[in-house]
Amino acid sequence: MADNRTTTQILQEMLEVPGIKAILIVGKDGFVIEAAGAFGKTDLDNVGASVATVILGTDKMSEELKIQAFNSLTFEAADAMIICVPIGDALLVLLAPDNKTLGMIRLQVKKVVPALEKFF
Amino acid sequence: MTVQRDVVVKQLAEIQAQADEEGLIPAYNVLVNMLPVTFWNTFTKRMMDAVPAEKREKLEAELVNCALECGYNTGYGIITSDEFKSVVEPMITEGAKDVLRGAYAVFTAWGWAKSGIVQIKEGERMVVRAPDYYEADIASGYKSGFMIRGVSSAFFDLAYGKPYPDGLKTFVCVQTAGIEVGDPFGEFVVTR
Repeated sequence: MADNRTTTQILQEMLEVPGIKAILIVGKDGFVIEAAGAFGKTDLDNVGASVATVILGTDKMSEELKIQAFNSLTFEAADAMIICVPIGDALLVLLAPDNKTLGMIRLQVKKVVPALEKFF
Repeated sequence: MTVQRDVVVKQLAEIQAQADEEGLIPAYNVLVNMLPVTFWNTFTKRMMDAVPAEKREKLEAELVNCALECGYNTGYGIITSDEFKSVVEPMITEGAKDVLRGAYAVFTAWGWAKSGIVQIKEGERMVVRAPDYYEADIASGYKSGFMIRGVSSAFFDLAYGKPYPDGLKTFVCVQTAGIEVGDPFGEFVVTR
């Protein structure tokens, strides 16, 4: 069956996954393509630029280590967890308050990546 | 590496944009001027309101065409300018894709439209989104992003059409979403 969902619909559905607080789709250049969820007063342009800088660093590291480009990147802090997954030429960035539902989030990400990839 | 848009925007914002005695600003190999957004939006709205409904489509095409011809020539000036070469070119590693990313960063830095690329299928298709653009302020009730439509197809003409100046109108752009019609962003799709 054809999947006619828009990116906005897919992101809204993902927000229903327990643990996911906010989602960003960021271009490789740091352009924030779409955002969903609770970001408060965060400057999303700055977040997008930071994501692009991090990805640039990991690409460089992969090059130095002669390994393939990353297919998932996880940051864990005391009060947050961030997961970055490439989707075509863009990145899906998920924010969670902790790692309690990491398994569930990863499972959902695996499901939605093919649907999102066709847009980017 | 790829083009980092915040770096481009910040560096370009520092460039002096002083108008000469005729109000023209020489930068990026072209001459630009600074006029209030309300001037352009009123100009567009009045023209659209003045034509009968059956001629609106033709007028829209003309408005897009103005931006297309301007964007093609101005875009060429921008991507061959010393400013672009020194700020953007060092970050280009993905050829035309990165030139386009740089072009939209310039587009944003100049305040024309906060816009960026969603998808590029090289030589075939490009999707651009704009969460903020001045034509969104036109209270038209219909999609009014004529400038972004024209400029987006012009940029794609420059990237994937015949070499300048023979590639104009290789591609066309349609607006698929608009803030002015209640969508959260403007979306523009360029195809052959």
